[in-house]
Amino acid sequence: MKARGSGFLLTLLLALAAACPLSAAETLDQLIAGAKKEPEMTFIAGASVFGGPRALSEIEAAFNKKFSLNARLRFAAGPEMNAVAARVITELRSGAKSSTDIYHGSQSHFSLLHQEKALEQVNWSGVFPWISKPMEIFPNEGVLIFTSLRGIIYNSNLIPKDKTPKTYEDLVDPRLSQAWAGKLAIPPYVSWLVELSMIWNEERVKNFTRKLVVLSGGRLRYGEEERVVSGEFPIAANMGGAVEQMWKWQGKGAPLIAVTGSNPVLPSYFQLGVPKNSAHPNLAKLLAAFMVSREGQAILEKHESASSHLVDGTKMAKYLRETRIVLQQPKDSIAFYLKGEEGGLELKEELTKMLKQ
Amino acid sequence: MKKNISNLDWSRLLLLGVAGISALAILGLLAMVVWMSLRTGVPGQPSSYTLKNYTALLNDPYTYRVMVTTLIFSAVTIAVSVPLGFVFAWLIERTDLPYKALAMSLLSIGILFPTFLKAMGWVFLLHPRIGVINIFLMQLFGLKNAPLNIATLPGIGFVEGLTLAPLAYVMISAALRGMNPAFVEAASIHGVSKWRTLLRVELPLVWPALVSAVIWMLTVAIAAFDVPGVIGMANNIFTFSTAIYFMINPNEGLPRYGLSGAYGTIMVGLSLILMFPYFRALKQSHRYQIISGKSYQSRPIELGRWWLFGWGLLGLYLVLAFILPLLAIFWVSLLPYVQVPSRQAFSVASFERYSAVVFDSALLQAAWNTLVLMVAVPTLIVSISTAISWVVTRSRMRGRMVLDAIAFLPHPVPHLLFALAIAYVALLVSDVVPLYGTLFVLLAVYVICWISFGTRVLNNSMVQVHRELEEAAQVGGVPTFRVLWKVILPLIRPGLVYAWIWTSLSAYRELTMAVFLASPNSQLLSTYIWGQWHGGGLGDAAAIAVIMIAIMSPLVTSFWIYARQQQHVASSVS
Repeated sequence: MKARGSGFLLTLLLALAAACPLSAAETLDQLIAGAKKEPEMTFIAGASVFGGPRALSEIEAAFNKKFSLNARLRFAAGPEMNAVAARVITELRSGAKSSTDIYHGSQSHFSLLHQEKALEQVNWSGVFPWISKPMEIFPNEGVLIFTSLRGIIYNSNLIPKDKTPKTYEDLVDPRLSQAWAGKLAIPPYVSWLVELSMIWNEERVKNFTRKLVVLSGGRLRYGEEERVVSGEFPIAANMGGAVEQMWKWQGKGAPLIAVTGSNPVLPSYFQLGVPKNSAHPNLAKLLAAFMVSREGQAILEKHESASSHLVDGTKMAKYLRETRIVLQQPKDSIAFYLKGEEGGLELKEELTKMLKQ
Repeated sequence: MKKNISNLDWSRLLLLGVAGISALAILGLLAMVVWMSLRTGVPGQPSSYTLKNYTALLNDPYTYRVMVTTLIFSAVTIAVSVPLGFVFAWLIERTDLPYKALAMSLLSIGILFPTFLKAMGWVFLLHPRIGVINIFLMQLFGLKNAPLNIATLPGIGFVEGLTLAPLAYVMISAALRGMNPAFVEAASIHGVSKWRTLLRVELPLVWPALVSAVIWMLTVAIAAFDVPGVIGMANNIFTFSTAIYFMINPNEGLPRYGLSGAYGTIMVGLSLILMFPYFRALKQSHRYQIISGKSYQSRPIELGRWWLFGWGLLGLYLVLAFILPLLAIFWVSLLPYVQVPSRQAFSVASFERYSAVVFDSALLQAAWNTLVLMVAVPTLIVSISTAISWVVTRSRMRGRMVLDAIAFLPHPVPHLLFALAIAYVALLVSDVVPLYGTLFVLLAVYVICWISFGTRVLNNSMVQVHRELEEAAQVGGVPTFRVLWKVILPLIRPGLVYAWIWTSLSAYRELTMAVFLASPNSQLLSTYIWGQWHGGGLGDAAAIAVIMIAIMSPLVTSFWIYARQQQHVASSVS
């Protein structure tokens, strides 16, 4: 009878585990208790993520204060987001621990990680009272840290006022493009072009890309806007967080202007998630949640002029409300990416080939 | 049987074991590059053997573009470095140029400053839009467009050539020093002018050394990552090494280890093919050398007032290669964002970035890791190289020359391929041996790649020690290890010290291998600066570079002075 009872219990437990694949530590207290056993965590991202070392040191202090911890946040400047995602997946498949305990990227990178089942399932909105369901851009995987309005950026000292672009298509307009022919920086990624096909058709995107490549003088990754500020490149066809970068650099007196380029605007929803092979998952989850909190958002705004439009009172929330800018919805973008890996590969490959020229 | 075992010279076995394991590691990693090229997917993923990677490589026009780009880049590098190296070597070795020791030291120290820092400096100097020199020239001559552009293939080759000129100098000066001066004396007696003697006598005599320097520079340029990475990548110029970097750190999708293995296999093949003419040229160069033992020195060519021109050239080189790039980096480190010098820029210049650095514990960790490698790498290299050189030069073991050839292999093969292979191995075994992402992986690859250098230095030193001393000790029943410790090592101390110092400094400046392997646990100063630069933090990268130079310069200089005192510089490197 006893054996039967324990068998039933085991079956019940297995059934529950199967039905609820979210991580075992489901309450905030449990997470904090788990985090206390983890003395440090590692975070690989771009050199200036969240505002760079000074901001990260502030984040570490405020994070420890919020959760009564004494953990060390070890930050390492690494390659760009896709390369870090690729590294996480490679390490997971090889059976190694992830180099980074927490992953920072946008919806395109999270799609890749989602498809590779590389992220831990976390009930973000269930565990953390300040996180709402819409903030889970990738439900149970990624939580929105800041909303980034992609667009064109240019150096206002170098582009004549009568030649300034208003839309992406202005970039290839022969009447304007003489001002930046051979000097235009384009991103080495195709995701923004692929996303443009959501509002344009594929043929229009291809034509646009062909013309853009002819005008290009180099490749700039997201985060390299200082090369436009300096004048090394007078204009960049697309930059992640163009509007926030404009706020940030104008604050330093730099001549940087951002133009969102399309309607609706194609935003990057920058999220944090925890790799399945993270060595310090509790600290990682708490840090992700902290960055969504008001304290985390305040530090982000202070150092990077970035914030989430879904957190009340942030600069981005106010800006979107005031300007009535329409954003491409995350669910559409995600659906596009998840479908795109099967249906849109051809376009992606074709655009990649064009960019290699 | 028992007697046989007790008679075994365990220390001899230990030396053989160390040498054998090192040789296996070198061959194993090269085999790994080829193996990788025959598989698809990421390490640990099941894959059948396939030639798909080669098919993809050969069918992609991008491959040919990268190949042509690499060849043009290499040609410009050679065109700049070898003539400069020859002129400097001729001035120092064959003329009565005053303050030669100073000139030699300045050129040699130049080799030790990280190349990628100089490349960063050149972006701020000669970029068509932000280059200070360009803007100065445009203002001076009222030009609309920048007259010079560093962000081009010739520009990148020029910077690489400038940084390699001291190495070319070291290679060629050894040949000029060892050249038979009787021919020059004969030309002089027959009234042939200095310039005619230079062109018709000296140049043909050092021709084999020049050819070997050209081939050497070609292998270095093919594998170079620093300058193509810093200047080329943003300007859509990709060479072999930067193309492989993006295969492992892709902008889209997953890493393509198989494809990079195929690239790597082609690079290994090319490097090994280039070694045949290299050794042939080296062999020929010895035919022109004076017979060792004769202390026969020719009269140096009198430069007269031309010594000013000689020093002017050296001075110009030093200004272009070191002083200007470093000043440019310092200037950028003071600004909130990159600006050309102006009244407005001066008004916002400050040391704020430097104060921000104190917040960065990762930087301190990177500095510590760099120091650990600067001590551990040379110590291991000297120990392993001693074992290999002992087997090659002191033992009568059959096949010892094969061991020597294997130890030399990492020299011509691009080091980034060893880095790639060791990363692959570390990932494969990561669930059994957690080495992936640790400093140990960097340590291992540095040691494997620089054993070739250690063994060249120590082979040269060991052959100069007469066997009689050793044989006398062995007759007295002294074990091999004790003979080595008490007799040979004290006699070759200068060689050991020189090899230690050189590899220690190489560990300090290395970027190419580190950029493929460094993780948060194993960040180095070089990868830290690269991370900042690559991530768009130009000013922060510049500030940390200045700190790196400021802290390391006294160390580098004192190391170098000590090495020069050991009188081993030129002979060992060549």
